[in-house]
Amino acid sequence: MPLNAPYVMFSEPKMLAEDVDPAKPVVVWFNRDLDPGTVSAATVRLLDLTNRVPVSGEVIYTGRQVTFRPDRPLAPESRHQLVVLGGESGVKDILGTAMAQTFTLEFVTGALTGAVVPVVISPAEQEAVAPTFTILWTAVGEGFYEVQVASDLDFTKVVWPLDGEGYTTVFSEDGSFASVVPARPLEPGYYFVRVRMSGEAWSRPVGFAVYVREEPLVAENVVDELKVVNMLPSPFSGNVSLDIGKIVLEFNRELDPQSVSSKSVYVVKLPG
Amino acid sequence: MDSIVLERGFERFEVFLSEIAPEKAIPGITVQSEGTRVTITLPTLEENARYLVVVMPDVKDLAGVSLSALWCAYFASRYSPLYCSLQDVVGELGSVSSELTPGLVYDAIRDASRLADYLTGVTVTRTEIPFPVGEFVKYRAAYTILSQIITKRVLERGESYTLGDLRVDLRPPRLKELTDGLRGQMDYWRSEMLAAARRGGVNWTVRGYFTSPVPASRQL
Repeated sequence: MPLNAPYVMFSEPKMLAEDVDPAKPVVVWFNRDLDPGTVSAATVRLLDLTNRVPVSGEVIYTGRQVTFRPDRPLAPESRHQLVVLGGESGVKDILGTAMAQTFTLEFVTGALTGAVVPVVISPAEQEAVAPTFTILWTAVGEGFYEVQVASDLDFTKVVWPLDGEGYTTVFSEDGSFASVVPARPLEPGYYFVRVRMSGEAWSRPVGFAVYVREEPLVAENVVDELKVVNMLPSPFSGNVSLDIGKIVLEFNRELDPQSVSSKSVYVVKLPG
Repeated sequence: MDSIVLERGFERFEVFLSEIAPEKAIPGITVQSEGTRVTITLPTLEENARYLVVVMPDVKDLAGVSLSALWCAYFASRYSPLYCSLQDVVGELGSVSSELTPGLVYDAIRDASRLADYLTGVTVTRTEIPFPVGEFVKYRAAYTILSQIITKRVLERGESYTLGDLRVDLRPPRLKELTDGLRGQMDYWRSEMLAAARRGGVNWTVRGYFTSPVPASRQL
Protein backbone atom coordinates (compact mmCIF):
# COMPACT_ATOMS: atom_id res chain seq x y z
CA MET A 1 0.00 0.00 0.00
CA PRO A 2 1.49 3.38 -0.92
CA LEU A 3 2.21 5.42 2.18
CA ASN A 4 0.67 8.53 0.70
CA ALA A 5 -2.56 6.79 -0.33
CA PRO A 6 -5.82 7.68 1.36
CA TYR A 7 -7.30 5.10 3.72
CA VAL A 8 -10.05 4.77 6.29
CA MET A 9 -8.79 5.42 9.79
CA PHE A 10 -11.94 4.53 11.67
CA SER A 11 -15.64 4.16 11.25
CA GLU A 12 -18.91 4.45 13.06
CA PRO A 13 -20.30 1.84 13.50
CA LYS A 14 -17.17 -0.23 14.06
CA MET A 15 -16.28 -3.17 11.86
CA LEU A 16 -18.56 -6.14 12.68
CA ALA A 17 -20.52 -4.12 15.21
CA GLU A 18 -23.84 -5.58 16.26
CA ASP A 19 -27.06 -4.11 17.49
CA VAL A 20 -26.36 -0.96 15.50
CA ASP A 21 -29.09 1.69 15.66
CA PRO A 22 -30.91 1.38 12.29
CA ALA A 23 -31.76 5.08 12.32
CA LYS A 24 -28.15 6.31 12.49
CA PRO A 25 -26.01 7.23 9.48
CA VAL A 26 -22.83 5.32 8.65
CA VAL A 27 -19.66 7.42 8.84
CA VAL A 28 -16.02 6.74 7.88
CA TRP A 29 -13.06 9.04 8.53
CA PHE A 30 -10.11 9.26 6.14
CA ASN A 31 -6.50 10.14 6.86
CA ARG A 32 -6.39 12.74 4.09
CA ASP A 33 -8.55 15.29 2.38
CA LEU A 34 -10.47 13.71 -0.45
CA ASP A 35 -11.41 15.01 -3.85
CA PRO A 36 -15.13 15.67 -3.23
CA GLY A 37 -15.82 14.92 -6.89
CA THR A 38 -14.85 11.30 -6.31
CA VAL A 39 -17.13 10.83 -3.30
CA SER A 40 -20.58 9.96 -4.61
CA ALA A 41 -23.27 7.32 -4.68
CA ALA A 42 -21.21 5.57 -7.35
CA THR A 43 -18.20 5.13 -5.07
CA VAL A 44 -19.88 4.82 -1.65
CA ARG A 45 -22.62 2.24 -1.40
CA LEU A 46 -24.53 0.58 1.39
CA LEU A 47 -25.94 -2.91 0.87
CA ASP A 48 -28.47 -4.79 2.94
CA LEU A 49 -26.93 -8.26 2.70
CA THR A 50 -29.66 -10.03 4.63
CA ASN A 51 -32.41 -8.84 2.32
CA ARG A 52 -30.02 -8.63 -0.65
CA VAL A 53 -30.94 -5.11 -1.64
CA PRO A 54 -28.96 -1.89 -2.03
CA VAL A 55 -29.88 0.83 0.46
CA SER A 56 -30.87 4.18 -1.00
CA GLY A 57 -29.44 7.22 0.71
CA GLU A 58 -27.36 10.35 0.49
CA VAL A 59 -23.56 10.43 0.41
CA ILE A 60 -22.10 13.50 2.14
CA TYR A 61 -18.44 14.53 2.31
CA THR A 62 -17.25 17.08 4.86
CA GLY A 63 -13.75 17.45 6.27
CA ARG A 64 -12.25 13.99 5.67
CA GLN A 65 -15.52 12.49 6.78
CA VAL A 66 -17.79 10.49 4.47
CA THR A 67 -21.32 9.96 5.68
CA PHE A 68 -23.92 7.65 4.19
CA ARG A 69 -27.31 8.84 5.37
CA PRO A 70 -30.04 6.30 4.46
CA ASP A 71 -33.31 7.71 3.13
CA ARG A 72 -35.12 5.77 5.81
CA PRO A 73 -34.12 3.64 8.80
CA LEU A 74 -32.17 0.53 7.85
CA ALA A 75 -33.86 -2.86 7.99
CA PRO A 76 -33.70 -4.03 11.60
CA GLU A 77 -31.69 -7.09 12.58
CA SER A 78 -30.04 -7.27 9.18
CA ARG A 79 -26.43 -7.55 8.04
CA HIS A 80 -25.21 -4.50 6.15
CA GLN A 81 -22.07 -3.74 4.19
CA LEU A 82 -20.70 -0.32 3.38
CA VAL A 83 -18.46 -0.34 0.32
CA VAL A 84 -16.09 2.52 -0.46
CA LEU A 85 -14.69 1.87 -3.87
CA GLY A 86 -10.90 1.89 -4.29
CA GLY A 87 -8.71 1.88 -7.37
CA GLU A 88 -8.76 4.18 -10.37
CA SER A 89 -12.56 4.42 -10.51
CA GLY A 90 -12.92 4.90 -6.77
CA VAL A 91 -12.36 7.51 -4.10
CA LYS A 92 -9.21 9.67 -4.49
CA ASP A 93 -7.50 12.28 -2.37
CA ILE A 94 -7.08 15.88 -3.46
CA LEU A 95 -3.79 15.00 -5.16
CA GLY A 96 -5.51 12.36 -7.25
CA THR A 97 -4.09 9.37 -5.39
CA ALA A 98 -6.53 6.49 -5.31
CA MET A 99 -7.29 4.16 -2.40
CA ALA A 100 -5.22 1.05 -2.96
CA GLN A 101 -8.12 -1.28 -2.30
CA THR A 102 -11.85 -1.13 -1.83
CA PHE A 103 -12.83 -0.65 1.79
CA THR A 104 -15.70 -2.70 3.20
CA LEU A 105 -17.38 -2.29 6.56
CA GLU A 106 -19.87 -4.83 7.82
CA PHE A 107 -22.28 -4.52 10.71
CA VAL A 108 -25.58 -5.87 11.94
CA THR A 109 -28.47 -3.61 12.83
CA GLY A 110 -30.48 -4.05 16.01
CA ALA A 111 -34.20 -3.71 16.52
CA LEU A 112 -35.77 -0.41 15.56
CA THR A 113 -36.35 1.86 18.51
CA GLY A 114 -39.37 4.10 18.47
CA ALA A 115 -40.79 2.47 15.38
CA VAL A 116 -42.13 -1.02 14.95
CA VAL A 117 -41.92 -2.84 11.66
CA PRO A 118 -45.11 -4.48 10.43
CA VAL A 119 -45.15 -8.26 10.08
CA VAL A 120 -46.85 -9.88 7.12
CA ILE A 121 -49.17 -12.56 8.45
CA SER A 122 -50.89 -13.62 5.28
CA PRO A 123 -49.85 -15.02 2.90
CA ALA A 124 -47.71 -17.09 5.26
CA GLU A 125 -44.21 -18.12 4.27
CA GLN A 126 -44.39 -20.67 1.43
CA GLU A 127 -48.17 -20.56 1.37
CA ALA A 128 -49.98 -21.24 -1.90
CA VAL A 129 -52.78 -18.77 -2.54
CA ALA A 130 -55.39 -18.13 -5.23
CA PRO A 131 -54.72 -15.39 -7.83
CA THR A 132 -57.00 -13.05 -5.86
CA PHE A 133 -55.89 -13.03 -2.26
CA THR A 134 -55.65 -10.88 0.85
CA ILE A 135 -52.41 -9.44 2.18
CA LEU A 136 -52.69 -9.10 5.94
CA TRP A 137 -50.16 -7.60 8.34
CA THR A 138 -49.83 -6.33 11.88
CA ALA A 139 -50.55 -2.62 11.89
CA VAL A 140 -47.93 -0.57 13.73
CA GLY A 141 -49.79 2.70 13.73
CA GLU A 142 -52.14 4.86 11.80
CA GLY A 143 -50.99 6.13 8.44
CA PHE A 144 -50.37 5.09 4.88
CA TYR A 145 -48.97 1.62 4.33
CA GLU A 146 -46.92 0.84 1.26
CA VAL A 147 -47.27 -2.72 -0.02
CA GLN A 148 -45.19 -4.40 -2.71
CA VAL A 149 -45.45 -7.78 -4.39
CA ALA A 150 -42.47 -8.74 -6.52
CA SER A 151 -41.24 -11.75 -8.40
CA ASP A 152 -37.77 -11.45 -6.87
CA LEU A 153 -36.45 -11.12 -3.35
CA ASP A 154 -34.69 -7.87 -4.22
CA PHE A 155 -38.02 -6.31 -5.21
CA THR A 156 -36.56 -5.07 -8.45
CA LYS A 157 -39.41 -6.71 -10.37
CA VAL A 158 -42.49 -5.38 -8.64
CA VAL A 159 -45.59 -6.94 -10.14
CA TRP A 160 -48.12 -5.21 -7.91
CA PRO A 161 -48.99 -2.41 -7.54
CA LEU A 162 -47.75 -1.10 -10.89
CA ASP A 163 -47.66 2.63 -11.61
CA GLY A 164 -51.15 4.02 -11.39
CA GLU A 165 -52.61 1.05 -9.54
CA GLY A 166 -54.20 2.15 -6.30
CA TYR A 167 -55.34 0.08 -3.35
CA THR A 168 -57.39 0.51 -0.24
CA THR A 169 -56.04 -0.51 3.15
CA VAL A 170 -58.66 -1.93 5.48
CA PHE A 171 -58.00 -1.92 9.23
CA SER A 172 -59.44 -4.31 11.78
CA GLU A 173 -61.80 -2.78 14.33
CA ASP A 174 -59.16 -2.58 17.05
CA GLY A 175 -56.58 -1.29 14.59
CA SER A 176 -54.16 -4.14 15.23
CA PHE A 177 -54.31 -5.59 11.72
CA ALA A 178 -54.46 -4.10 8.26
CA SER A 179 -55.09 -5.70 4.90
CA VAL A 180 -55.34 -5.05 1.19
CA VAL A 181 -56.70 -7.13 -1.66
CA PRO A 182 -54.91 -6.54 -4.98
CA ALA A 183 -57.66 -5.58 -7.45
CA ARG A 184 -55.88 -7.45 -10.24
CA PRO A 185 -55.46 -11.24 -10.01
CA LEU A 186 -51.82 -12.29 -10.17
CA GLU A 187 -50.47 -14.78 -12.67
CA PRO A 188 -49.50 -18.19 -11.24
CA GLY A 189 -45.91 -18.05 -9.98
CA TYR A 190 -43.74 -17.47 -6.96
CA TYR A 191 -43.75 -14.02 -5.37
CA PHE A 192 -42.54 -12.05 -2.39
CA VAL A 193 -44.54 -9.49 -0.44
CA ARG A 194 -43.43 -6.75 1.94
CA VAL A 195 -45.11 -3.88 3.75
CA ARG A 196 -44.03 -0.71 5.44
CA MET A 197 -45.50 2.34 6.97
CA SER A 198 -44.71 5.27 4.73
CA GLY A 199 -41.11 6.33 5.23
CA GLU A 200 -40.34 3.53 7.73
CA ALA A 201 -38.45 0.27 7.36
CA TRP A 202 -39.82 -2.58 5.26
CA SER A 203 -41.15 -5.72 6.87
CA ARG A 204 -39.30 -8.96 6.30
CA PRO A 205 -40.30 -10.25 2.85
CA VAL A 206 -42.53 -13.29 2.76
CA GLY A 207 -42.37 -15.72 -0.16
CA PHE A 208 -45.57 -17.33 -1.43
CA ALA A 209 -46.95 -19.08 -4.48
CA VAL A 210 -49.96 -18.15 -6.58
CA TYR A 211 -51.68 -21.04 -8.21
CA VAL A 212 -54.96 -21.69 -9.97
CA ARG A 213 -57.06 -24.22 -8.18
CA GLU A 214 -59.22 -26.38 -10.43
CA GLU A 215 -62.70 -25.96 -9.00
CA PRO A 216 -65.01 -28.97 -9.22
CA LEU A 217 -68.21 -28.46 -11.15
CA VAL A 218 -71.11 -27.72 -8.83
CA ALA A 219 -74.72 -28.26 -9.81
CA GLU A 220 -76.68 -25.02 -9.60
CA ASN A 221 -79.38 -26.34 -7.34
CA VAL A 222 -76.99 -27.66 -4.71
CA VAL A 223 -76.91 -25.51 -1.59
CA ASP A 224 -73.38 -24.39 -0.76
CA GLU A 225 -72.46 -26.11 2.47
CA LEU A 226 -71.16 -24.32 5.53
CA LYS A 227 -67.39 -24.34 5.56
CA VAL A 228 -64.33 -22.67 6.96
CA VAL A 229 -62.83 -20.52 4.23
CA ASN A 230 -59.85 -19.01 6.01
CA MET A 231 -57.79 -19.28 9.16
CA LEU A 232 -55.19 -17.01 10.68
CA PRO A 233 -52.50 -18.07 11.27
CA SER A 234 -52.68 -19.95 7.99
CA PRO A 235 -52.99 -23.73 8.05
CA PHE A 236 -49.57 -25.41 7.87
CA SER A 237 -47.78 -22.21 8.89
CA GLY A 238 -44.70 -22.67 11.03
CA ASN A 239 -42.66 -20.80 13.63
CA VAL A 240 -45.70 -18.85 14.78
CA SER A 241 -45.01 -16.37 17.57
CA LEU A 242 -45.72 -17.66 21.07
CA ASP A 243 -47.60 -14.44 21.79
CA ILE A 244 -49.89 -14.61 18.79
CA GLY A 245 -52.82 -14.15 21.17
CA LYS A 246 -55.63 -15.27 18.93
CA ILE A 247 -56.75 -17.45 16.07
CA VAL A 248 -59.36 -16.18 13.63
CA LEU A 249 -61.59 -18.52 11.64
CA GLU A 250 -63.63 -17.17 8.74
CA PHE A 251 -66.70 -19.05 7.56
CA ASN A 252 -68.54 -18.68 4.26
CA ARG A 253 -71.80 -17.79 6.02
CA GLU A 254 -72.95 -16.05 9.15
CA LEU A 255 -72.98 -18.39 12.11
CA ASP A 256 -75.56 -19.13 14.72
CA PRO A 257 -73.74 -17.84 17.82
CA GLN A 258 -75.54 -20.38 19.98
CA SER A 259 -73.76 -23.19 18.14
CA VAL A 260 -70.31 -21.79 18.78
CA SER A 261 -68.68 -22.60 22.12
CA SER A 262 -65.46 -23.94 23.55
CA LYS A 263 -67.00 -27.41 23.11
CA SER A 264 -67.51 -27.00 19.38
CA VAL A 265 -64.45 -24.90 18.55
CA TYR A 266 -61.22 -25.57 20.42
CA VAL A 267 -57.49 -26.01 20.16
CA VAL A 268 -55.43 -29.10 20.93
CA LYS A 269 -51.68 -29.12 21.51
CA LEU A 270 -49.74 -31.94 19.91
CA PRO A 271 -46.08 -32.76 20.41
CA GLY A 272 -43.92 -30.89 17.85
CA MET B 1 -58.27 -46.49 14.77
CA ASP B 2 -59.90 -43.50 13.06
CA SER B 3 -57.60 -40.74 12.07
CA ILE B 4 -57.45 -37.58 10.05
CA VAL B 5 -54.75 -36.84 7.53
CA LEU B 6 -53.73 -33.26 6.86
CA GLU B 7 -51.73 -33.03 3.69
CA ARG B 8 -50.27 -30.27 1.61
CA GLY B 9 -47.48 -30.57 -0.91
CA PHE B 10 -44.84 -32.86 0.54
CA GLU B 11 -46.09 -32.51 4.08
CA ARG B 12 -48.38 -35.20 5.45
CA PHE B 13 -49.60 -35.16 9.01
CA GLU B 14 -51.83 -37.81 10.57
CA VAL B 15 -53.64 -37.43 13.87
CA PHE B 16 -55.88 -39.90 15.66
CA LEU B 17 -59.35 -38.73 16.61
CA SER B 18 -58.70 -39.78 20.20
CA GLU B 19 -55.92 -37.19 20.34
CA ILE B 20 -58.22 -34.35 19.39
CA ALA B 21 -61.28 -35.09 21.51
CA PRO B 22 -62.82 -32.02 23.23
CA GLU B 23 -61.39 -33.07 26.60
CA LYS B 24 -57.89 -32.68 25.12
CA ALA B 25 -58.47 -28.97 24.46
CA ILE B 26 -55.88 -26.66 25.94
CA PRO B 27 -57.19 -24.71 28.93
CA GLY B 28 -57.44 -20.96 29.11
CA ILE B 29 -58.93 -20.23 25.72
CA THR B 30 -62.08 -18.26 24.97
CA VAL B 31 -64.20 -18.53 21.84
CA GLN B 32 -66.23 -15.66 20.42
CA SER B 33 -68.48 -15.67 17.38
CA GLU B 34 -69.45 -12.58 15.41
CA GLY B 35 -70.98 -12.75 11.95
CA THR B 36 -68.92 -15.07 9.78
CA ARG B 37 -65.92 -14.91 12.10
CA VAL B 38 -64.89 -16.93 15.14
CA THR B 39 -62.08 -15.60 17.30
CA ILE B 40 -60.23 -17.93 19.64
CA THR B 41 -58.22 -16.14 22.31
CA LEU B 42 -55.12 -18.07 23.30
CA PRO B 43 -52.76 -18.15 26.26
CA THR B 44 -49.04 -17.94 25.49
CA LEU B 45 -48.08 -20.87 23.29
CA GLU B 46 -45.33 -23.39 23.99
CA GLU B 47 -42.27 -23.82 21.79
CA ASN B 48 -41.91 -26.71 19.35
CA ALA B 49 -45.56 -27.67 19.43
CA ARG B 50 -48.19 -28.20 16.81
CA TYR B 51 -51.56 -26.66 17.57
CA LEU B 52 -54.58 -28.19 15.97
CA VAL B 53 -57.69 -26.04 15.59
CA VAL B 54 -60.80 -28.21 15.67
CA VAL B 55 -64.31 -27.22 14.56
CA MET B 56 -67.00 -29.78 15.36
CA PRO B 57 -69.91 -30.42 13.00
CA ASP B 58 -72.19 -28.92 15.68
CA VAL B 59 -71.38 -25.45 14.36
CA LYS B 60 -74.30 -24.12 12.30
CA ASP B 61 -75.15 -21.12 10.22
CA LEU B 62 -78.25 -18.99 10.78
CA ALA B 63 -80.29 -21.29 8.52
CA GLY B 64 -79.39 -24.26 10.69
CA VAL B 65 -77.02 -25.79 8.12
CA SER B 66 -74.07 -27.36 9.88
CA LEU B 67 -70.58 -28.33 8.79
CA SER B 68 -70.65 -31.55 6.81
CA ALA B 69 -67.78 -32.99 8.83
CA LEU B 70 -65.23 -32.26 11.51
CA TRP B 71 -62.82 -29.58 10.30
CA CYS B 72 -59.30 -29.15 11.55
CA ALA B 73 -56.09 -27.41 10.60
CA TYR B 74 -52.80 -27.02 12.33
CA PHE B 75 -50.00 -24.54 12.72
CA ALA B 76 -46.67 -24.92 14.46
CA SER B 77 -45.41 -22.62 17.20
CA ARG B 78 -41.94 -21.15 17.40
CA TYR B 79 -39.24 -23.67 16.68
CA SER B 80 -36.13 -23.83 18.79
CA PRO B 81 -33.27 -24.02 18.22
CA LEU B 82 -33.05 -22.56 14.71
CA TYR B 83 -29.51 -21.84 13.55
CA CYS B 84 -30.40 -20.63 10.08
CA SER B 85 -33.41 -19.01 8.46
CA LEU B 86 -36.14 -20.55 6.36
CA GLN B 87 -34.99 -18.38 3.45
CA ASP B 88 -31.47 -19.82 3.74
CA VAL B 89 -32.76 -23.35 3.15
CA VAL B 90 -35.35 -22.43 0.54
CA GLY B 91 -32.66 -20.53 -1.33
CA GLU B 92 -30.54 -23.70 -1.56
CA LEU B 93 -33.45 -25.79 -2.82
CA GLY B 94 -34.54 -23.35 -5.51
CA SER B 95 -37.56 -24.37 -7.56
CA VAL B 96 -37.85 -27.67 -5.69
CA SER B 97 -39.06 -25.71 -2.67
CA SER B 98 -42.31 -24.61 -4.30
CA GLU B 99 -44.12 -27.67 -2.94
CA LEU B 100 -42.86 -27.32 0.61
CA THR B 101 -44.71 -26.03 3.64
CA PRO B 102 -43.02 -23.83 6.25
CA GLY B 103 -43.59 -26.53 8.87
CA LEU B 104 -41.59 -29.07 6.89
CA VAL B 105 -38.67 -26.69 6.41
CA TYR B 106 -38.66 -25.53 10.02
CA ASP B 107 -38.80 -29.15 11.22
CA ALA B 108 -35.66 -29.88 9.21
CA ILE B 109 -33.86 -26.75 10.45
CA ARG B 110 -34.67 -27.48 14.07
CA ASP B 111 -33.61 -31.11 13.80
CA ALA B 112 -30.36 -30.10 12.08
CA SER B 113 -29.78 -27.47 14.78
CA ARG B 114 -30.27 -30.07 17.50
CA LEU B 115 -27.86 -32.36 15.69
CA ALA B 116 -25.30 -29.56 15.53
CA ASP B 117 -25.64 -29.05 19.28
CA TYR B 118 -25.25 -32.77 19.88
CA LEU B 119 -22.18 -33.11 17.64
CA THR B 120 -20.44 -30.13 19.20
CA GLY B 121 -21.40 -31.02 22.75
CA VAL B 122 -23.39 -27.87 23.30
CA THR B 123 -26.07 -28.37 25.93
CA VAL B 124 -27.19 -24.80 26.53
CA THR B 125 -29.08 -22.43 24.30
CA ARG B 126 -26.61 -20.71 22.01
CA THR B 127 -26.53 -16.96 22.17
CA GLU B 128 -24.22 -16.86 19.17
CA ILE B 129 -24.31 -18.96 16.05
CA PRO B 130 -20.81 -19.72 14.76
CA PHE B 131 -20.59 -19.49 11.01
CA PRO B 132 -19.78 -23.21 10.38
CA VAL B 133 -22.74 -24.21 12.56
CA GLY B 134 -25.13 -22.03 10.54
CA GLU B 135 -23.75 -23.41 7.28
CA PHE B 136 -23.91 -27.03 8.46
CA VAL B 137 -27.51 -26.58 9.60
CA LYS B 138 -28.53 -24.94 6.33
CA TYR B 139 -27.09 -27.71 4.15
CA ARG B 140 -28.16 -30.51 6.45
CA ALA B 141 -31.75 -29.24 6.49
CA ALA B 142 -31.82 -28.78 2.71
CA TYR B 143 -30.36 -32.25 2.18
CA THR B 144 -32.90 -33.83 4.55
CA ILE B 145 -35.79 -32.17 2.77
CA LEU B 146 -34.50 -33.18 -0.63
CA SER B 147 -34.18 -36.78 0.56
CA GLN B 148 -37.80 -36.68 1.77
CA ILE B 149 -38.97 -35.35 -1.58
CA ILE B 150 -37.20 -38.07 -3.51
CA THR B 151 -38.40 -40.78 -1.12
CA LYS B 152 -42.00 -39.64 -1.38
CA ARG B 153 -41.85 -39.58 -5.16
CA VAL B 154 -40.41 -43.06 -5.25
CA LEU B 155 -43.07 -44.36 -2.84
CA GLU B 156 -45.88 -42.71 -4.76
CA ARG B 157 -44.80 -44.09 -8.07
CA GLY B 158 -43.76 -47.50 -6.80
CA GLU B 159 -40.60 -47.49 -8.80
CA SER B 160 -37.00 -46.71 -8.25
CA TYR B 161 -35.55 -43.26 -8.54
CA THR B 162 -34.30 -42.88 -12.03
CA LEU B 163 -33.28 -39.84 -13.93
CA GLY B 164 -35.74 -40.59 -16.69
CA ASP B 165 -38.60 -40.78 -14.26
CA LEU B 166 -37.94 -37.35 -12.91
CA ARG B 167 -37.15 -35.65 -16.17
CA VAL B 168 -40.58 -34.12 -16.49
CA ASP B 169 -41.03 -32.60 -13.08
CA LEU B 170 -37.71 -32.09 -11.47
CA ARG B 171 -35.17 -31.84 -14.24
CA PRO B 172 -32.89 -34.70 -13.14
CA PRO B 173 -29.49 -33.25 -13.91
CA ARG B 174 -30.39 -30.31 -11.71
CA LEU B 175 -31.70 -32.59 -8.95
CA LYS B 176 -28.63 -34.79 -9.05
CA GLU B 177 -26.38 -31.76 -9.06
CA LEU B 178 -28.36 -30.28 -6.19
CA THR B 179 -28.17 -33.46 -4.12
CA ASP B 180 -24.43 -33.81 -4.65
CA GLY B 181 -23.82 -30.14 -4.00
CA LEU B 182 -25.77 -30.13 -0.74
CA ARG B 183 -24.08 -33.31 0.43
CA GLY B 184 -20.63 -31.91 -0.32
CA GLN B 185 -21.33 -28.64 1.46
CA MET B 186 -22.92 -30.43 4.42
CA ASP B 187 -19.94 -32.72 4.90
CA TYR B 188 -17.48 -29.85 4.57
CA TRP B 189 -19.21 -27.68 7.17
CA ARG B 190 -19.70 -30.64 9.47
CA SER B 191 -15.95 -31.15 9.64
CA GLU B 192 -15.34 -27.40 10.00
CA MET B 193 -17.83 -27.24 12.84
CA LEU B 194 -16.33 -30.24 14.63
CA ALA B 195 -12.79 -28.95 14.13
CA ALA B 196 -13.78 -25.64 15.66
CA ALA B 197 -15.44 -27.38 18.59
CA ARG B 198 -12.30 -29.48 19.17
CA ARG B 199 -10.20 -26.32 19.23
CA GLY B 200 -12.35 -25.27 22.14
CA GLY B 201 -14.66 -22.38 21.63
CA VAL B 202 -15.52 -20.61 18.48
CA ASN B 203 -15.07 -16.91 18.03
CA TRP B 204 -16.90 -16.45 14.81
CA THR B 205 -19.39 -13.69 14.66
CA VAL B 206 -23.10 -14.06 14.90
CA ARG B 207 -24.83 -13.97 11.51
CA GLY B 208 -21.51 -12.88 10.02
CA TYR B 209 -19.45 -14.33 7.27
CA PHE B 210 -16.02 -13.83 8.77
CA THR B 211 -13.74 -16.08 10.69
CA SER B 212 -12.53 -13.29 12.93
CA PRO B 213 -13.06 -9.56 13.24
CA VAL B 214 -10.77 -7.55 10.99
CA PRO B 215 -9.84 -4.01 12.05
CA ALA B 216 -10.56 -1.28 9.56
CA SER B 217 -6.87 -0.61 8.99
CA ARG B 218 -6.29 -4.16 7.74
CA GLN B 219 -8.90 -3.81 5.08
CA LEU B 220 -6.56 -1.68 3.01
